[in-house]
Amino acid sequence: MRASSFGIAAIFATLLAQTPVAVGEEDFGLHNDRANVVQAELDENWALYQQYMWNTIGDGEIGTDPEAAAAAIAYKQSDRRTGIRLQSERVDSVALYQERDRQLAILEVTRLFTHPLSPAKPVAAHNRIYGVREAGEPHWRFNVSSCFSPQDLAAQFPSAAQAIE
Amino acid sequence: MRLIVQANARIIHAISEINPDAAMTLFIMSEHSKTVDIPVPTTGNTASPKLFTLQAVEMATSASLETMDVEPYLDDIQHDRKLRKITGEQGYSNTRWSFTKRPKRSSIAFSHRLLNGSNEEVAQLYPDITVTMVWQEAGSGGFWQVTDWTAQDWSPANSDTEE
Repeated sequence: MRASSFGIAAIFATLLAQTPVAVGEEDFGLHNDRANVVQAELDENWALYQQYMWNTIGDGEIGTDPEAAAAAIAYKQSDRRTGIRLQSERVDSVALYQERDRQLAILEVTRLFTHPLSPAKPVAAHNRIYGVREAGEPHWRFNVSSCFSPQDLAAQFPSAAQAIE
Repeated sequence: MRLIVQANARIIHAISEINPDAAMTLFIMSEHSKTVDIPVPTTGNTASPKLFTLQAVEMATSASLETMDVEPYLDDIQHDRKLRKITGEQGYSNTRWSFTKRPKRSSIAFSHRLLNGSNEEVAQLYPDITVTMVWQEAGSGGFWQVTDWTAQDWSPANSDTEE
C-alpha cells in the first residue's frame, strides 16, 4: 500500500513538475528523517545532527553555512549545560509542497524539554520547522530556527509562500 | 548565550520603588527564563515610548505574562509635557542590561535612560540598579537566583526640567 501510494505521488510530482502543488500524504521519508534528527540531538551526536541541517538561502541555493551550524550547535550545548534538554518531539502537522524538483515540508511540532526553573514538569515549546529535499538528495534537511529569513524561503517556494509568511 | 534568572516578587517590588523600568525588565527576563522559545540574551535592552510605573510592576507580578494588561499603568512619554521637553517628539525610554559572570556569584547591571529621536541619551530618571545572583543547581543544570540588589548613589539631575 505504502509502495503504491509512493509511486502515484512520484508520478504526480513528475506530471506536475511545472506547476506548484501541495503533494499528498506520502512524505518521502520525512518522518523517519525527522526522527533521526531528534535522536541525534538526544544522543548529542552533533556531527549527524549537522548533516540534517540547513541554515542559509542564497541565489536559490538552500545550503549550510558551517559557522552558523557550529553556532547553533554551541547554543544547544550551552542550553544543555544550563539544564534545558530535549526530551521528546511530537509532529503535530505536516504540509508538503513541491516546487519543480524540490520539496518543502512545513512541520508544526511540540517539543518537550526539561528546564531548571520547572523541575516538576517538562516545558513545552511549539515550533515550526521547514524541511527541504532537493532532487537526488538522500534525506531531508531541516532548518534550525531563526537562522534564515522566511521571506527568502517564500521566494524559493511560491506555492507555499502564504504558509511560510 | 542564554541567561536563566529567577527573581522573586519581593525583590522585584523593592526594586520597583527605586526604578520601576529596571524592575519590569528583570520581571520579564525572569518570566522568559521559564520558556525555551524566548531565550534571554546576556546583554540587551527594552525600549518603548512609555515608562513603567510602580502599579504596572505590581500588576505584572500578580498576573501571568500572557494575560497582563499594563497599558493603563504606563506613562506615555509623548504625552508628558515635561518628558517631551527633554526627549523631543520621538523620544523613548530604554533600559539596558548586562550580565557579568563570576564562578559562584554573578550580577546584572540595569541602566534606564531617556533617549531622543537620534538615540542620544538625554536624561536619567532613575538610579541604575545592580542585582547580585547565586548559582542554584537544579537537575542537570541550574539557574541564577537573585539574592540581593543595590542602587546607584544618585540624586535627580533633572530638577531643571521643573516648570
